[in-house]
Amino acid sequence: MRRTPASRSRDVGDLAALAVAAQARAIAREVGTLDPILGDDRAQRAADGFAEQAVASLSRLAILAEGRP
Amino acid sequence: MTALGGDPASCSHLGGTLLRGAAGLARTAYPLDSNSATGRMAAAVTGELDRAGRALQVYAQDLAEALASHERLRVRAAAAGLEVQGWRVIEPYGVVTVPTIQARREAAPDLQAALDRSNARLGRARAAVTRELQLAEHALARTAGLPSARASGPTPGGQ
Repeated sequence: MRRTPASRSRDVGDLAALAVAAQARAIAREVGTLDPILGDDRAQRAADGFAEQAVASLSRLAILAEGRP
Repeated sequence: MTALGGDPASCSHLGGTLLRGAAGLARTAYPLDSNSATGRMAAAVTGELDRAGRALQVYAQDLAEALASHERLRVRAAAAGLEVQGWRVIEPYGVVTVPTIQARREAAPDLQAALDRSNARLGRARAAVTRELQLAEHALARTAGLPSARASGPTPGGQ
């Protein structure tokens, strides 16, 4: 079966989406292991809250990119 | 008064990781349709990782400078027969000569003023990084359709 430009473009998009999923998971893993010390309670809570949210959002992005609901 | 502490290297490490992650994710997501759900979310997440990474890198620099400045002032204070506790210059207890008392009284105001400036700079740096991290957290939560991990701090458009 001949592949049309449209189907090739779809394949490229699918591969890119899978690569995005893998990369998002890798970043989430790395961010989850880091423990910055900001030296101030309020700033520390902000950093911890951001890191927690970043891991959740990256995981959500990975799920979306893999085409899972 | 701003607490004296923190580890610039650990802040820089997370900042660098976020910046590298954002750049890599942007490159990988480039072929995606920018109007697709994945493309939109990848762009939004990339932007917030970049924002937080930059804020942490700037803060790491400011924190390192504040700690170095504090140490320099502590050494200067010791040379003048004074001590630095936190952000305050104090005169240590003990019997001292009149010239020593004079030297201390001449040096103390300048040292205290320098400590106050350093303290204020660090306070501003901490407020800035806190604000940026909270805004990035809220934006990520909105993007992912998730509740914010911690419902505190500024929201976009307000403090």
